[in-house]
Amino acid sequence: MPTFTPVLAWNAGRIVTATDLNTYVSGNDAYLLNRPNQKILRNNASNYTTTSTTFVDVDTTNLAITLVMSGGTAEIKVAGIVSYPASGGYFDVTVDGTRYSGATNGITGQDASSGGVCIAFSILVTGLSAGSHTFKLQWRAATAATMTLQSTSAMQVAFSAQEVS
Amino acid sequence: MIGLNVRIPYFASGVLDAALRSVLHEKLIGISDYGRDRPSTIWLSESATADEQAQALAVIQAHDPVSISLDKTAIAANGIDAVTVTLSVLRPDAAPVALVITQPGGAQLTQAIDLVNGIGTLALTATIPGTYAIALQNPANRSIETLRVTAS
Repeated sequence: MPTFTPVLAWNAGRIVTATDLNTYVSGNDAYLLNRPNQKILRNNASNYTTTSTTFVDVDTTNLAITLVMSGGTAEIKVAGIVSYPASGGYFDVTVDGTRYSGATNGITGQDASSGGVCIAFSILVTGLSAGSHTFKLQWRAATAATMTLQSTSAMQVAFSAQEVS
Repeated sequence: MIGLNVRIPYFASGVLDAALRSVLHEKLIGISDYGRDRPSTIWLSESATADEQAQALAVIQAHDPVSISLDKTAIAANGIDAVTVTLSVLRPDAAPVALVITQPGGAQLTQAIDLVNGIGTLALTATIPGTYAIALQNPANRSIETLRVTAS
C-alpha cells in the first residue's frame, strides 16, 4: 500500500533530486489514487437478529473495518435489508469505539415495524488523526423485540469505508 | 455492558428475551444472534452480578421454544369448518405441549397435543360466533404467541 509523505515547503535554491520527485510526486500521487479503503459484502449464511435496546455491534468481527489513514476524513457507507419490530429500530456507526451520532436513535432507522425494507446511508467522519481507525456497524431495537438484518447469499450487507481526504 | 457469548442450539429470539427479562428485568439489555454456527450474545447491564449471569445461563439451558401457527384465521361457526393449529418444537427432549383455547365469553378449554417428530396438529371447529384465542399452556420460556380465529 502506498504511503503519503507530507509535502515539503520548497525553498528557492533547493536542488530537486530523483528521491524528492519519487517521494513527493510519484509516491504521493500513487497514494492519492489508491487511498485506504475496504469494502465488505457480508454473507453471514444466516440473518443477524437482535433484541437489544442499547446500541450493540451488529457483528463485531465481520462488520468492522480498520483503515490506516494519512488524511483526516473518511466516508462510511451502509446498505442492507432490515425488518423492524414493533416501535422500530435504529443504526449507528462507531468510530474507534465511540458512536458517530451519539444520538439516542443513532443515525437512521424508523419508529414503526415493517418487514424487509431497505436501509442505506453514508456518513462523513472528519477530524481523524493520521493513523489506524476502526469503524463498526451498530444497531438497536426500539423495544425488546426482534430486529433482523438479512445477510445471506440472497441478500448481503454492504459496509464500506474509504479515506476521502 | 456485559456480553455473554453462549451457544443456544434451540432458539426463539423473542421468547428467550421475554424469559430472560422476567428474571433479570432491567439488567437484560437484549440478545444478538449471528446464525447457528456462532454463539449468541446475551447483553447484560454492567451491574449484573455473577449470580445474575448464572441465572441467565440457567434460563437459556431451560429454553424450550414452541412455534404455533394457524392455516386460517376465519371459519364458519357451523361446527364443520375447521382451523388447523400446528405446533412445532425444536428440542428433541421438548416438554409435553398443550393448548389453551379461550372461547368468546372467556371460558377456556385445554387440549394436550401429541407430537410426532416434533410436530403436532389440532383441528378446531366452532358453533359459537366470536373470536377464539389460542395459546400454549404454561408458556414461560416456550412461547409468547396468542393467535386468534374469528368464527362467524
